Amino acid sequence: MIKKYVIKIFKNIKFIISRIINKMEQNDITMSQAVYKETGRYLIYTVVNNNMLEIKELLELVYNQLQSDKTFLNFGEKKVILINAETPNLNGLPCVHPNVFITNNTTFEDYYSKIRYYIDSEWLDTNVGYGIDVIKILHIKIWNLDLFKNSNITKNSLHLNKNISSGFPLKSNGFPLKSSNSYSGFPLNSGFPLNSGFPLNNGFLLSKGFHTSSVSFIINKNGNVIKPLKAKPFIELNNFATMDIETINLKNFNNLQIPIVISSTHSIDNNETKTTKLFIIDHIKLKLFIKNNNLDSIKLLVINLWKEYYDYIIVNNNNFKVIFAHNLGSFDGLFLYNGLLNIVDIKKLETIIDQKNKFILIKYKDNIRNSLGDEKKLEIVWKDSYRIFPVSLEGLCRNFNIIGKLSKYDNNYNSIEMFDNKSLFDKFLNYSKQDVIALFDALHYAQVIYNVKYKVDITKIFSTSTLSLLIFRQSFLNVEIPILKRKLDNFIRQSYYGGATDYYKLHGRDLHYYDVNSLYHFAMCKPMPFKLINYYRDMSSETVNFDDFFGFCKVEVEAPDTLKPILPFKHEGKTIFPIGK
Amino acid sequence: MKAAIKLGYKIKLLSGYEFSKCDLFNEYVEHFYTVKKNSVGSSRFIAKMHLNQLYGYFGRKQELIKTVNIKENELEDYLATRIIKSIIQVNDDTFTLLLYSNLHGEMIVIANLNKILSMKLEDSYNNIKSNVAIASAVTAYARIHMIPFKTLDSCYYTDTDSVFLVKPLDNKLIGKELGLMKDELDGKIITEGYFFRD
Repeated sequence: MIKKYVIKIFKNIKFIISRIINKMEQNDITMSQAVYKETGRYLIYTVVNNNMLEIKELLELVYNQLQSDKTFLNFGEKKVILINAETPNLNGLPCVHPNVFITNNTTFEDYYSKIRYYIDSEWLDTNVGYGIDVIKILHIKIWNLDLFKNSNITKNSLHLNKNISSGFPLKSNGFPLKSSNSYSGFPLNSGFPLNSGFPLNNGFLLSKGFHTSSVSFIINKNGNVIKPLKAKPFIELNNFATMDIETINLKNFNNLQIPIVISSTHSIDNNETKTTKLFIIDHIKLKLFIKNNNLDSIKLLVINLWKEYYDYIIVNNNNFKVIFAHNLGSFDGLFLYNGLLNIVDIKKLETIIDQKNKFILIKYKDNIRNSLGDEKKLEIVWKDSYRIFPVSLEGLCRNFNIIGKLSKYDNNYNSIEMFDNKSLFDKFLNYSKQDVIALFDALHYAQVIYNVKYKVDITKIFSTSTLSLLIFRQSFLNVEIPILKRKLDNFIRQSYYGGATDYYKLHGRDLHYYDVNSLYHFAMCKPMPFKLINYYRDMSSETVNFDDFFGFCKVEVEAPDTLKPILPFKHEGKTIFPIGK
Repeated sequence: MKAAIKLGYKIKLLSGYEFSKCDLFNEYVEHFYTVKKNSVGSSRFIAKMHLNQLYGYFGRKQELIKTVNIKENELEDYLATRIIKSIIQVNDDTFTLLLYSNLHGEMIVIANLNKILSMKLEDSYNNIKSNVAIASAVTAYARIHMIPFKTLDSCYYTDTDSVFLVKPLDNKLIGKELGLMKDELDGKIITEGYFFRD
């Protein structure tokens, strides 16, 4: 607890100092010259946010600078703009805003009105978004639509204000679109969601004018519910494998991180015998190439390392379909994906990536010929065991009583000199072997426990929450929970706030510190909203017995002038607790 | 809101959705809470995890995000036809894109303003297993539970589930059961504390 405050103090001081230092720099932003990317046919600008400007301020400067940039203006009249963010806390380049359409005459206000809602909810909101309001580096990408050879666009731009249904081509240039049968729910050709253009914030629920009698429109009747599941008395558990990657940073190459060992463990004969294999980079050549400053050859060595692993996986594929890596979401997934891309066709790889650009799953599907020339279907899925058990490998072993992980990571492992030190190198190989075996043992133990206790197979789910939901549906749920329709979801989502942190006095003496035992679990035991029974279009005129009312309302509030406001409200994505009206 | 009215809030009702009530999680919470209280090692670990992870699932956004892996020369097509949430450059000419594949919430606005592009949005209808009413109710109950503590005169600071008070709490509010308070300092006090805003 005390640590938490020390960190807070530190964060504040750091912020102030960085603010002071940065203020000394002349410009708020530094924008690079435009670079034209030939293959992707787009312009790219890089912007550094020198003075920690908040997102809107930053975008305004950037946008105005763009609109006075010659290259930008001459690039074309109709354009698509997309901005990516580079921030230390997020992998990859999440979009500051998705691709939106602009012209040379679009004002900043018009542009910002298109993206405001996205920025508020995805970036500023601390509850459902990233909770980030300062982005250090922007990558701006501009595409020219005048040049874009797509008949759909020309066609569409002609009927700009007419029915948008033409904007949903069901069959067109090679994009795999499902047949029109797959569109259930809102009829697309009526143009409902796009053309109605209802305002998001105020009273749009009322604008369509449906009454309590049209409640059925809001509740999903056609089977869209979360149903209880029946557990099978006996489930056949999937065999699985584990993998781990060890890397080093190459000092001579800007600290480029490359994998040097890939390890794999699986079992045959129903988990009776374990097989572990280590794949090691050709380190003699690696040292030579480093000495000769030959990056391309180093990259080839890495590809060869992945090839060895890949071949091994293909041969042993009969023994497992799922491979777990602990922390696939961080670096391992990116290394693996990159490795596989050099070996197999990109279209044979499927990935699922989360909101923070972390890999949830990498799937490889292919038809391959065996030595006899017979074709067989192959499917291998890599999953992140950290998503299911969000603790370190050490913690995982401790929690499942696995005495496998004996040695700790030694920083000397991260250096090419290690290869010359035989005892250190042996220690390192032993370490990587221990890791992949320990992960296997812990997960195997977990798989057995979950099967015995809850009749679920952990190889068939993706995360703790999907596992929790599965257990809940199988063992505890006995009603069907409705899934809310979009309008109702939108309405109620405005009431979804987290907890409140508030400071009433900044300094105190002799304080007692209490916290509630499992506050959220306690809250979960209260009666939950279940079925929608009434919609009140105008609560002031209809007679509503508020004492018995249970549900969600839109209200106007006049708060007392107090130091301790209790009702939350969302303003620009941030939760505030206002006073007054 | 009823709790707020007692504190002098004036509220004018505009519109609303009324729900029936149902005890959904009681058995689930009871099961794992008992396991957590009475065990060590893996069982405790599992129980703790499942207690914490369920309700948030119901608050998941109703948006369908699809991942595609493409070469750089395909980027342009996607830019003009899809709404892109994220671009990950995997290597020199390979990108992974996260695409919105349905229209939900704010995305309606963006799609609307991108009418000139021939947007291809696959499932305009969603099928994410969530129910934000439930998630919202859980967090609301939690906030309501904290109101009496927050509004004590002796309250200096509150967090989602904790308070700093200058006076000790009544003993009947302290205990081991769900929802009761736990004295984090075991009767000891903090002699001096500063609270900083982030």
